[in-house]
Amino acid sequence: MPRFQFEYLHRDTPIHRMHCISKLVLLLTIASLGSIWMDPRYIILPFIFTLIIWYIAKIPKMWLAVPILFTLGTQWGMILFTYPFLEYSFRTLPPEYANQVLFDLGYIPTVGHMVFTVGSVWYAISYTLKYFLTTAAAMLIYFTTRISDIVQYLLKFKKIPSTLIFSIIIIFKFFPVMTKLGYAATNAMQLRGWSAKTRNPVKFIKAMFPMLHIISRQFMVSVDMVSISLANRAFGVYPMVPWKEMPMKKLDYIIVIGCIISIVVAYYLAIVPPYIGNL
Amino acid sequence: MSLEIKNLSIQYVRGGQPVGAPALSEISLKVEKGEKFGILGPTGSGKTTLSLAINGFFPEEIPAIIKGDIFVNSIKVGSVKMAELKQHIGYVFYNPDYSLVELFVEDDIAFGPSNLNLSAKEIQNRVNFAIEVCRLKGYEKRKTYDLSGGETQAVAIAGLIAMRTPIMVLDEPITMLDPIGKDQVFNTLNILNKEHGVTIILTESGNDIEYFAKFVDRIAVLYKGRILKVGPTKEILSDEDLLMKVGIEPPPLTKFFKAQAPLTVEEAVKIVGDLIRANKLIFKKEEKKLSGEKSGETLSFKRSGQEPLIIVKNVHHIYPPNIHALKGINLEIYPGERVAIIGQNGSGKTTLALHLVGLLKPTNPDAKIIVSGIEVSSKKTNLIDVIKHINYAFQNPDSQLSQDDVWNEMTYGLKLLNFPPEEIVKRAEEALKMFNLLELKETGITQLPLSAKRRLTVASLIALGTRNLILDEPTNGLDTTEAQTLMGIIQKLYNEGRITSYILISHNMELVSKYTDRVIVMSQGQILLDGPTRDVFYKPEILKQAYLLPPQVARFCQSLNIFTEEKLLTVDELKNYIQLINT
Repeated sequence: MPRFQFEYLHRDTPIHRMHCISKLVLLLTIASLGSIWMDPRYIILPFIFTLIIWYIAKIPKMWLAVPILFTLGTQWGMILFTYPFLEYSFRTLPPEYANQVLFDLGYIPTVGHMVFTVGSVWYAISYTLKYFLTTAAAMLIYFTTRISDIVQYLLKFKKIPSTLIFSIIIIFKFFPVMTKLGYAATNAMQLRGWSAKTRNPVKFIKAMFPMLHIISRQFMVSVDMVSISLANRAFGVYPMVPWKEMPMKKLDYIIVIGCIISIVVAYYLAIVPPYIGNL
Repeated sequence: MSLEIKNLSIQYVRGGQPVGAPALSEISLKVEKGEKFGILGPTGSGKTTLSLAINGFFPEEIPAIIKGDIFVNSIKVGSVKMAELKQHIGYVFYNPDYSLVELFVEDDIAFGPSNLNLSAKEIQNRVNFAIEVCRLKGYEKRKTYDLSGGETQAVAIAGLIAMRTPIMVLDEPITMLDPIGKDQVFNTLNILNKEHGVTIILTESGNDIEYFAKFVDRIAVLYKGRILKVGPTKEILSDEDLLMKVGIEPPPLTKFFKAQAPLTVEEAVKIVGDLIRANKLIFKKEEKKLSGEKSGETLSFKRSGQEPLIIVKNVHHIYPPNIHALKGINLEIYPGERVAIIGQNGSGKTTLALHLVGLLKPTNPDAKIIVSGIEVSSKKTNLIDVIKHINYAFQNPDSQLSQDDVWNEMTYGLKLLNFPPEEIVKRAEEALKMFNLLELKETGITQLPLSAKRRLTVASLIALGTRNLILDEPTNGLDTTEAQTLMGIIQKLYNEGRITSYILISHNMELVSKYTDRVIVMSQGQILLDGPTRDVFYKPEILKQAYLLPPQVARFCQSLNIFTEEKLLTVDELKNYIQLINT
């Protein structure tokens, strides 16, 4: 039964129609640009580009919550406890501007003197965008690319062992299957008066036990059955044969070449004066 | 010869020690090339063990002590690796979830052939063929873990078809399919058998005996791990003593005509002509009046002056991204009604049922679902208030049973609902007794047979005091005796007033004709037909649109155009109208 899940969504969009390899290259390019550049004024470009692709791929807006929560979850500590103490040397920002104090939080016991300067805020914005960008790009691939397409492509390289490829499938299958099981178990238990709506964490964990019991029991059965199922489908007799015709189209080649050029150019500009994109 | 088994005995082993009695004892069997061979036996008779053994799962994958020999296409099982053996013999598990390994339908179907060193083009051709014959067009990109039970079963069979092994073993492969889906699977197997010479070995525990009987040429009857008899299908299915011993009912018309043992409606029709000409069949003039149940009259009587128990108004449900599962359902169910919801796989039956208990909410704001005066469709409604009036037994009992043993399972819900301790014990013991589970109260859930698990799921809901039940495929995987035991208990509770109404979701039309008064036919998220059971089953054209077939007796009467006024459904009813003389 379909429901909200953190998984691939089949849609007929130009992004979904792209070859899996060109999509992977695009993801790596976005992530690379995010890592090369430090200046938020430049990072904003791949950031906007990612949002546009996100929109074209018709990914539900609510899934934006994942990169947002991930970014906030990983960045709040950095923003509070790292950036105020960084003494960066800025290559492109004038030091008198970068060192301008915005907020002085004063001396905090065991932490030290905390000051937010223009430079530290600049860094905070930059890293927040970087984290968001990388997570969003990874999710973009996850939601628009069938793992089996990547596997089919990898199978063309004979040296990659089938067992490794199959492990990838199993790992990707594990999450949705367990989600489905958890969903069914929750439904069944709710119909007997079960509820996990409590603010007490101890009570919550206690309430979750029966559900974990169902899942763990079914998981053990599933693990046994996977090895039997594999043998039943003649897995391992011969190397797996890729069966899908997945030719790269002109647009895919253009994207791949365009991505490679952008990375080379961005690297070059960032490492030679006047260090475009780098702080 | 495709298969030869010599003196096979198997005993399961756990922790290095033999467990219980041998699952199979001294089995000897021969199956010729191109044969359609059936293994018939109740649950626990050893059918699955035998199927697994033929496929080489012992002891490589499942620990067991094995005696005797198995030869598949003259290859001794055990002398080659199992994966190699799979080029000669294929297997569909009784639980289709176990057969699927990939994430998407087309990938799963292609998985087997991809391992057989075939060309990409050949794999693609086989995938297309399997998709076509298993009615899976449009499902290619669907996720395997989001399919309904019937759809999963179809994909598992398609995966095996794509492997085109010369021998196929299918362990009760059609239990979750709609009637026309069952027919189509057998048509496909027939094509593979006739055009490709594939040997088919099929197991059956009685639920789909009509389809099984029509398909297989020979049957081995398995009981408590031993083969009682092997013979042609007609001979086995007309052996009343044998079938009674193993607790399996023959198809209704085979049972009725006994000596002639017709296996299909067409055969039965022909037999009637022959018997009339030989003056061996007479139509009774003074028929015994049929019981009023299942007629429109009874439904009107039950409804008169009563408020509906369930009111469903304009319910739509759209699953993300855009699957319109329910399309404007309107419905009223009255106290005392025994309703069946039938329809093809994926028609929205379970989705509708989950709305009735409040687990799913309509996706359109103007929809309304009211159960015993409670607005179930409202997001503010507390589920605990709903389950006092109506509850739902899941299709798969393993997703409902959350405790270690039977007693804890029975008392779990009662504790959650804060019943006093003495009341908990009283209710739990009473429910266990009703469902013949009292002796098993200390047994672990994992040790329970499927039949006991199914009874336990219903018993634990009855203990909560719920008087209206939704039973989703309650007899799936059970043999005839077990299915009748479970439905018999439910019927008894209904007669005693412990259950006011029940809704049965099932693909088993014989069961529906026996245990319900009203049938709702669903197709593609809509109600196609709603009426008294007799009326619905005498509208075969509409049923066909929903991939359904009436029960065998109804089809027989419709073919002969007899008793269409009386609308007979069961063999017992037919006996009141047709008398056979010395046949």
